[in-house]
Amino acid sequence: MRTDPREAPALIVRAARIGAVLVLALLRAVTDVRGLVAGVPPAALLGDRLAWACERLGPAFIKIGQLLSTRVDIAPPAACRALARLRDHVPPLAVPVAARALPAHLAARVSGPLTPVAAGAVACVYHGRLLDGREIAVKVRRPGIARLIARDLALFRHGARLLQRLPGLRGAPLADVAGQLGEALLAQLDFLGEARALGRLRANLRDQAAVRVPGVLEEFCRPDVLVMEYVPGLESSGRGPDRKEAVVAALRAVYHMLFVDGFVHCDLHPGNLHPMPDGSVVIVDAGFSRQLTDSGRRAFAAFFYRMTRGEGAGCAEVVLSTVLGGRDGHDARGFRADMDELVRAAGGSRIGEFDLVSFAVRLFAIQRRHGFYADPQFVFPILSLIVMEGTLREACPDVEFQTEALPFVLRGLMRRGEESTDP
Amino acid sequence: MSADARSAAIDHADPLIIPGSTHHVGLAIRGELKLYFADGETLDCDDVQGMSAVRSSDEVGTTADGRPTLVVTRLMTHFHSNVTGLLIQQNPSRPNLGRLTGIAPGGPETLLPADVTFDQYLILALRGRLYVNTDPLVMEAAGITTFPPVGTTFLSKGATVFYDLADLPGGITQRDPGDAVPRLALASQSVCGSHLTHHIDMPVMDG
Ligand SMILES: Nc1ncnc2c1ncn2[C@@H]1O[C@H](COP(=O)(O)OP(=O)(O)OP(=O)(O)O)[C@@H](O)[C@H]1O
Ligand SMILES: [Mg+2]
Repeated sequence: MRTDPREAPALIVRAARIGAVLVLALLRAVTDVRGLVAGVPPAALLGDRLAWACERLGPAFIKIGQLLSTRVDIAPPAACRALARLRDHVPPLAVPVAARALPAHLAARVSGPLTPVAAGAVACVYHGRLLDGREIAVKVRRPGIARLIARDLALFRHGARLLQRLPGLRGAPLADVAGQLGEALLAQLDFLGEARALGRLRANLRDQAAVRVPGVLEEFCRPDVLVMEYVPGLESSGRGPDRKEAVVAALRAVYHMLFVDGFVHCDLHPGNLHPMPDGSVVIVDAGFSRQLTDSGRRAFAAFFYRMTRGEGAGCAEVVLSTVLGGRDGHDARGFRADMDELVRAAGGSRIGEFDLVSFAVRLFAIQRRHGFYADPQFVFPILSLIVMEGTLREACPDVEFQTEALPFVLRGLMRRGEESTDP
Repeated sequence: MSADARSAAIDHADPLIIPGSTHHVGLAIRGELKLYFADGETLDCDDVQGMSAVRSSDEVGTTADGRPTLVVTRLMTHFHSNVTGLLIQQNPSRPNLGRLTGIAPGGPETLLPADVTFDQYLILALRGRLYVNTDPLVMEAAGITTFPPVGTTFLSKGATVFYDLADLPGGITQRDPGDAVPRLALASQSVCGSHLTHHIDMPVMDG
């Protein structure tokens, strides 16, 4: 970690506070006799206490906690569920402060004051109007937040490396995980990246009539300001008789992303996916999106295709075809048999009958057991579905998710795109 | 070997007509299929009709859990859809095997009710191109109570991708698609045997 020596005292104080809060959280988790007696799984207690610690430690940790809550490939599902309740309770940035963050050529064209729409730990969203009458949504990054987060992330990664040297944790990929989470978080701070991602999603989904991604006004965007067309009615989205229709439209959009485009929005939690009263759906906040390579996309489509045919051994073959080296001494036959069993036992074809989290957890466990890991990119499509699963289960449990996927899976198999250069 | 076209006097639901003889039965078929293309087009073929014939083996085997099971071979598939111009034939270069497995354990007398599956390798002709599959199109029916399965609806298990014959250097005999990209996929919504066209019973003589 490279630091300015003048910052060292502040860093030490911050590190001490982080350490103290985390230790306190850990102590409270292991001494929660009442919880243990009541039969709460230890992982859930720990997740609960971690959420508590993240709320106390500020934006970087809140975001890391939220990111970790989706990573059932890394953390126990019970801990993930506890972390998923983590919300940022913060007041919006005052309007004059936000207004000062606008680039001059935008400020000159805004008529009337901004009004706050939503507030998060990292950014706040405002409604405004341009002189030409267009309504805009302006997402403003909190001033100074990028530096604070970069500092906390550096400490976080440093801490992970230190922890990894402790006897009980030797060999655990803590530094890798911390690195991955940090990278995802830093990417979310770059609103120019988010603007590009929104633009791509919008272009990719243009033929999906029931799906809307707000257009970006590129000429006004900055690393800390994202300007979009304003979509009315998002505050009160989610209700209405056509909720189910809207959520099915969202599911199809996600299948399009996963199988046809390979450009995946990995963060479609209820705050970013808005079912509208007319049965359409609005998708926002593409800050955590990933481009799969073309071979990764096709391999995932092939995996899903084999799964819809009930061919577990075929799924195993797909994974094996993406494995890069490291096969020696591993048991491919046992791997195929376990995959076969996993696919055979994998619940029903309706959303309400299929437990995606436990399927994914078992899939990752089989990979670990046999030492064959799918292309690391496989994790993003799976995460994207897992983040949406709660919404799907509640809005359309009786939808046949494999049948819905089929047209997209098949198109994905039939399409051969160029190998992407920016995975 | 005698071959006689049976009349309605024979009870085709009687499983005992199967052992000890080789059957050749033909069925008139009606079906609904869906074709998916690479560009996102979906073609519904709701008016598929034609003929299909299978021969059942004269040997009833037993599964590991004691249920009777019988191999069937599809000898002919010839369907078309007037509306879309789709023509479906069987790929003659590989066996189209199926299996009928009784639901209850026992001997030949418990062959029905049964679960049936067929692996189908086909040649599709559509819009001037020919397409073949290298993964079987698996057709299934659960709990059939009559054989031949008149009135029984078969469904495909998932969809199956098809390759343009022009992309396969080995033609219809090629088993592994290699680098070829699938050009369309077929899923069958339902295929139903509407009535028997012929039934040839070939008893096997002892000695
Ligand atoms: N284009 C838009 N039009 C209208 N409202 C919007 C628009 N974009 C965002 N919003 C509102 O602002 C809320 C927050 O936006 P967004 O999800 O982009 O920011 P965030 O949640 O703070 O970001 P992050 O999830 O990275 O913390 C949305 O849920 C939505 O209600
Ligand atoms: Mg959001």
